[in-house]
Amino acid sequence: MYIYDEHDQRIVDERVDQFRDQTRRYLAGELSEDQFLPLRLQNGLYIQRFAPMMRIAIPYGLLSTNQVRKLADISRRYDKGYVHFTTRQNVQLNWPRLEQVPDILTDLASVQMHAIQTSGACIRNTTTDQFAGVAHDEDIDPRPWCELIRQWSTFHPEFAFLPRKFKIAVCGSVEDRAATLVHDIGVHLYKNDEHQVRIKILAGGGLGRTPVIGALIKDNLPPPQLLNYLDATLRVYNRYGRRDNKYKARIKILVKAMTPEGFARLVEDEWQKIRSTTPELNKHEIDRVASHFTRPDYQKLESLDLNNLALKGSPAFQRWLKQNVTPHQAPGYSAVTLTLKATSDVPGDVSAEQLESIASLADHFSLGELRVSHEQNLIFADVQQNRLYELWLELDRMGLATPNRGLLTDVICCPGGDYCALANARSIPLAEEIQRHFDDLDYLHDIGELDLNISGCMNACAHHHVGHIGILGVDRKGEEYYQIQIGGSASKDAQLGKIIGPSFSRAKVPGVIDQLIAVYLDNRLEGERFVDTSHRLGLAPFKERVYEQ
Amino acid sequence: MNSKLFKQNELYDDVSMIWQAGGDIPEGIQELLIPLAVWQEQPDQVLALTLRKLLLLAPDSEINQESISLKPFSGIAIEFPGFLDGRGYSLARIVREQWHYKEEIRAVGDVLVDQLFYMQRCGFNSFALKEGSNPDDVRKALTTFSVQYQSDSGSSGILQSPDNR
Repeated sequence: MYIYDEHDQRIVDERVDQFRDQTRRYLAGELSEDQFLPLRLQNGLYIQRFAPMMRIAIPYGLLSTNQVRKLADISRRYDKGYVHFTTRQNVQLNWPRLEQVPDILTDLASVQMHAIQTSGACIRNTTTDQFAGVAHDEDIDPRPWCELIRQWSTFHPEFAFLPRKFKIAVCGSVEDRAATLVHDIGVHLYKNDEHQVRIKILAGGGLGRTPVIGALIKDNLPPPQLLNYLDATLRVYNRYGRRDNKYKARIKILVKAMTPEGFARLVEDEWQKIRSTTPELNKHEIDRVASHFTRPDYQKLESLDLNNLALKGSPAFQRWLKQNVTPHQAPGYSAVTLTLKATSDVPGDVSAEQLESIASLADHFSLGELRVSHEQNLIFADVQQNRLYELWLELDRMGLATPNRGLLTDVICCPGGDYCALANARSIPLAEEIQRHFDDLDYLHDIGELDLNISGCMNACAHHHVGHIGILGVDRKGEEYYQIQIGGSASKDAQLGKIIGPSFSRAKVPGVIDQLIAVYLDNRLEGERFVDTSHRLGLAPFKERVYEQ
Repeated sequence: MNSKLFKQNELYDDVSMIWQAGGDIPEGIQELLIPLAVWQEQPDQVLALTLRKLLLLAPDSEINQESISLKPFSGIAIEFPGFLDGRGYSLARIVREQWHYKEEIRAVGDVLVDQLFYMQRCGFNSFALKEGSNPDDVRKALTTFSVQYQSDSGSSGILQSPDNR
């Protein structure tokens, strides 16, 4: 993974000094609440329902075990001994004290981590495929590009006060596991016919109140021009994006208003001007960053037949092997997902003790690295297949072998009304009720791949619009209700789900999901997932079943 | 109007005012900020003014180098109606980098000390600040970071510099 050089380290160290001084001036009354707000936000600090919440960046989801141990240490020292992994490959502390935040930042900087631009109206943490560098369907490793974008966006002087937050996701494989089509900018890496790396830029995707699928605005962009082109795109947004209404301030609204073609034309003009005065991304710099992401020294192994391997273990091991173990580029290796979705655990929450155990396992089984996915799971990316059983035994003992990756109970869930001041409804208790309701593993595996996303409000932190089943918390005369939509998808054929009808009380939701699944099971064709059947049939049969008297 | 001006590493009293066509100029005023619309609509009145003049750009100004004459002006002032409004950063870079403008570019309006580092990198070289601003705080803010990744009005940054790191 990327290791800071002295420049990178100096930048985060200077940031800590800057924020320490800003916090001091705020506490001394020299900075007003309003003036301090954007400063603390751009250092990851929100004021939540009960306490400040601090969001720490995990750039494109990569962590060393050293960093994982530091997070455990920080959560114990400054918080209640657990952390929360988010839907954007970040990690959050729920109960830090403002006065201690500069110390937390100092501790983070000691392991090359930071909370820079994890909130506020600026360019946020860049996200990508959790299987980057090992994915079997990968054309180009997105990680060097993510790191270059991370550096470019860090303290970008022109784009710290945008109309609204700005999120960039990068994808270099056939399947899009980073939901790039619902980001402000999606960066797609590919090889042209001459096998040169080229870039497609998609703009104006997003969820929230007005969900939109991103539009292609640039094709065939040579990599050295990436930063200049991003500068041009952000400049057009910064100048023309709406600032009068925060619900209409995201780039998606601007792209829609101008039409993607009109927006692309303005960006193209600006890019031509910028490139005539601004140097390209330095080719040596591209190579230098890429050199941090070379293929590890894998052992020469034969690929194992996992069906044979499965026969040697219990049904629980077999389910885990089928569901949580995914293909790898190197023969004899697999990637393993630890879902943080055991029933009764808050989705995405991990205790300090668990973090330390996971770090030890990652050292022992996966080259000392850990990945975080936007599904709020953790990944061991480089596991030898001949050690899978040994690893499973350890994970099972720790309660981290829940075999539900990609299944109904692998719920993507925002913190909801239990923590978040914006939420209309709680999402965590609903996730748990659904997990309890669907506790028959054979049935879950029979239902197969099903993305269930629960957002506690319109802001859509759990991306409910692109869940195969998406649930949105709404407020009905002061009571928590839940609106259900089906048919969403976050992959390259991204689609937004459609609302099935009036919302339900929490107690009714698991039963409604039962009925939706029954329609699927009654009608599915060979090989069809829930989402495929829902697209083929349309809303009507689902609606009828759910709302029949 | 703000009451201090930081320029060339020193803090001064701000002796400027925004001038509208036909407006009086109180005693003590030594600089006039001329809104773009006034310059476009009343050029003769503007040319008759003898004080030092800066062209004042609102953040939503549609600016075009060919159609704006900058000759009578000693500098350009860019307005920040609120400190969260970041449009002025882009305007400054366009003027500095694409117009190759070498004179003063001043940030006026709601300008906070904690924003000066970024403003300077976007091409601003003078800043209208609130009464009570401390020159040492300002100097410190302008030197917050010693390394920069990306290209700006003054440097290529370590990502885009031809000689790299």
